Amino acid sequence: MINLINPKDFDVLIIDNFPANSQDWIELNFDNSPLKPVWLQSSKKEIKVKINLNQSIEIKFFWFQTMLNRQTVQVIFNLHNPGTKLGIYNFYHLDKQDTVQNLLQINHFQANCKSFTLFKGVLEGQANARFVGKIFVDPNAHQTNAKLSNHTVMLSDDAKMDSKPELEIYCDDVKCTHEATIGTFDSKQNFYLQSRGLDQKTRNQILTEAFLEEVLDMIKKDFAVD
Amino acid sequence: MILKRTLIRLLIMLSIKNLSVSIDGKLILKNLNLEIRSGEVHAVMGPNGAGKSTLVAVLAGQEDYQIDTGEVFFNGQNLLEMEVEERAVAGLFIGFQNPIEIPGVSLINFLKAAIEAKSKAMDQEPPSTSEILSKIKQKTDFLSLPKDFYKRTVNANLSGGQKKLSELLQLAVLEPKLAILDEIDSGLDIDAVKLVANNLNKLRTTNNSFVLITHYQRILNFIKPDFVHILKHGQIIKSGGEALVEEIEANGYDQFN
Repeated sequence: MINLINPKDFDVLIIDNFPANSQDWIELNFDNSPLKPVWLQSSKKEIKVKINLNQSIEIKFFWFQTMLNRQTVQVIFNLHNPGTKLGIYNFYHLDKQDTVQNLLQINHFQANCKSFTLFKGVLEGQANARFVGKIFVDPNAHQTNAKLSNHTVMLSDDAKMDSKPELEIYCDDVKCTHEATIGTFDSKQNFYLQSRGLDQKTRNQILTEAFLEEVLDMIKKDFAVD
Repeated sequence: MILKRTLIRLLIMLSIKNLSVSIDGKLILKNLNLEIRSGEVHAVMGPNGAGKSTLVAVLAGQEDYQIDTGEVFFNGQNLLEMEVEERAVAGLFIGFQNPIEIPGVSLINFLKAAIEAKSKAMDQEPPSTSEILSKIKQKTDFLSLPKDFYKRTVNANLSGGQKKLSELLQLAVLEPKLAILDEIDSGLDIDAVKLVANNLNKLRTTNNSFVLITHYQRILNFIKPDFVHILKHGQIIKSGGEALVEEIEANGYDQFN
């Protein structure tokens, strides 16, 4: 599955190498637009990262979670300058007793910023995932354009998903949307694959890879907020 | 006499006997009978609402209908008791009227999985990736498709005509014993119909069989069926040779009752 992701398409950033302060928060500051999306990698069970976007830059972040016994990721994004464009992308494929939490806060402090957040994943076995994503819009953040989506496919009755997208808005002239879906793969797509002889396991594998491809495709597109 | 009967039975690819099917309590197919042998091309023609799509759905193994009576045997196996994927690996291919789009899946990966599924079902070692690729390339050339056609996604971002050609490439690569093609000509302009028909002619052998399910006679100007059946009100009301196509072309379906 992870082989589908080409590291050359990303700036790989191993966040375990960064020093944490006393509350275990790692603080990352970005002043320039990187040429490639940033792939955040960590093998730790608990990660707390504060990402400050200090100039009006365009930046995309991606992380991927699979075969993790347990991981909690807490990330705060601070958009400190007008006109900043931020993309946040994640894919999770969890099985057995994997337990993953992604806790996210996107703080729009200034005007005319865009943020696009897409979390997608597939749960098998007794996997347990939780997504909490909040878009915060400051009274100064006029013309904010923000979208936050979380889509999960459940392949097992014993898997659990808790999805909680939130908005906290203190400004009138903004456009903010959030959405969450939890379901199964499209039955027509499943039938089409079945009619070509593919068994259930292979169908799930192919459709899971396709689900990941959709995230990778979105990363290649411009900041697709609308 | 016994030997002759056995031979005939062996040659029968598909046998549908007294098949009655209903959807939501409404009878759609009524005592339908049809027999197809190796090497034959059959055309099943009929007006809208005749039951053409239901017939395809039953053979494909879709679950939204009720079999009331009858039986279907495919190469001696009870088709109605087989899972959808078992039908495919046993050599049945359904060409869909509206092939489903699967964004993010390339045709080559899809075909590789289908070939591997077939090998697994036959307890054979699957061909290597390079063998699969060279077969797909060879079939792409054989059907005069663009060289990189197999790199495209499964039906996503393809035109109506390209989707039908994608179905034909799958058919060519998977080499089924029997292909049921549901309105393979629908939504195509005349050049595309010709291309599809010419490709189907190329894929005909003495060992495989085709059923073309169609509303219009257009594609049958380019591909000559051995048998033509008229399906109306859920029954095959007339069977004949190629000449039947001309009768339909001249006077429509109303003349048959």
